[in-house]
Amino acid sequence: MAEEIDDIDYTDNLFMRLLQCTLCGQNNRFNYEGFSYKILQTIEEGIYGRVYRCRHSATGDIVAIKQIKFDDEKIGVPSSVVREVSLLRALQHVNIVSLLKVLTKETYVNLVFEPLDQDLSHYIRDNRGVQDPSIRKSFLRQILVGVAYCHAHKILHRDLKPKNIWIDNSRMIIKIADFGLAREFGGDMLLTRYPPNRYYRAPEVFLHCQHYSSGIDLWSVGCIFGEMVIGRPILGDTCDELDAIFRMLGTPSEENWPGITQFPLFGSYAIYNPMDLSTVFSGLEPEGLELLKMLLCLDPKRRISAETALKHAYFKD
Amino acid sequence: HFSTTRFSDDTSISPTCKLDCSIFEDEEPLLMSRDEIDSHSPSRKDGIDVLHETHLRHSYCAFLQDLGVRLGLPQTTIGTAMVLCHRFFVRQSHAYHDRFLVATAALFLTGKSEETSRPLNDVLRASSEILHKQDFAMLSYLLPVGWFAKYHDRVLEAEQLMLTTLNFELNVHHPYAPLTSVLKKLGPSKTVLINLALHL
Repeated sequence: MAEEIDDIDYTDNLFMRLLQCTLCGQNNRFNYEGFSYKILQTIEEGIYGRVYRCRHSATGDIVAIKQIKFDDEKIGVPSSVVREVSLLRALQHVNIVSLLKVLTKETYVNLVFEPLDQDLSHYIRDNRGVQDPSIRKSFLRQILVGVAYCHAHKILHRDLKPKNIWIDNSRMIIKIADFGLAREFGGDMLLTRYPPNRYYRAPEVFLHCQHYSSGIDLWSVGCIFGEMVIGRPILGDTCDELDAIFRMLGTPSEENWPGITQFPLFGSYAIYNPMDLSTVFSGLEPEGLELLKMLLCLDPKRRISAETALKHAYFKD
Repeated sequence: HFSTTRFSDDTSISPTCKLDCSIFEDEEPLLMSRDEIDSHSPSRKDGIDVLHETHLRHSYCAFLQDLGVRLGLPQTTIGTAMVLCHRFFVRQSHAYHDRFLVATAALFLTGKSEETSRPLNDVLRASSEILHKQDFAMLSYLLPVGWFAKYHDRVLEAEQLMLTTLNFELNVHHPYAPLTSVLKKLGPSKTVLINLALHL
């Protein structure tokens, strides 16, 4: 049982260490409690695995279970699981999905969440956007409340999109989910990963800015807001999203985005004048349009914060 | 290196612990005093006294620093891995868990959570080179066939045990950023101090 004791030198044989140490030897493999949930329905299927709607066989509780396989044994526990669980355990808020349990077997992890009905992308597809102005306002407010809560806890979501925003149908409550790409920010942390989803990616990320911050989440919220109005991603199908962003909002200059010319990638873009957003988003109230413009502000430093956005006139009533 | 840690009654998790965390059963994070850490350490029950445990702590920290530098990892990642090891050994005994195996797994895990990940094989190679004070090419002559695969599996198991033992509590707040910003206000001549601060 006890290994031989040595102090600061590591001279003892590595192989002897392996033989002697009892860490997870045959006799103490992780026990796995029987999977006592009955699968009712597959809610979603993605590259990482599946999300099921399940009922606990004893208590009858309904939950959503995200099953993530780790097929590549070179990686160990996938970093998305490590991040999602370590961050979600710190976040407890009505607009953020709650993680109830983590169940693991050798080849997969089951993350047990509170039940989820439908994601916002389905809702937008089925209803051609969120046409009812009061529901749209309520959804946006709840998304912003959730994002403000994350940012107050110094956590960036980095992958906000309608597919990661869930709706509790009975109470029309928004739940932000999928923190697999989220991470803490601030201090001297390196931010090296870029969010994968191009439709909701902020312009500074396209320009390979190394010091992006909470603004990237607000940009995504702006894109989602616009999508709720027009019923499809605001950038539409394009092979150059940054070009599409500049076409819509106008190509930035040193005047409205100080430092823009320092980005090596910036030089290659044509100069566009901004479109009239009130015709693009014709169904939107004037206050809503004003808030949308503040969320879709090209310069990340001048983009509105979640906290400030919640105080905007759009939410007055 | 004594850090904030969560302390609950079931710290003496047996080696047969389940990778089955009920997140809501946790209490609020508690700060433990030096005395509490020293007297509650599960290593005490196995006859490892305070002085000896301090030595063990030093040895895995020195090992982690060496390993992290070899892998070109930033000091924050190395520091986080050290804190995770401390958190681990507040709940688990040194008698049952090889500290270098745990430390290797901690650094690999921290790399993943802080976006500074290194391929597992690189971590394993560097770790075995340090432990053996031998070039990796020599190790295949010195050790029995299949040792690397076994080492690989053990480190991955240690990673899972680390996650369950810490209940996925992997976030560590370092003093580096506030410290360096204060030092910068003292003027550019204080770079020596900044370097010193980074190695606290």
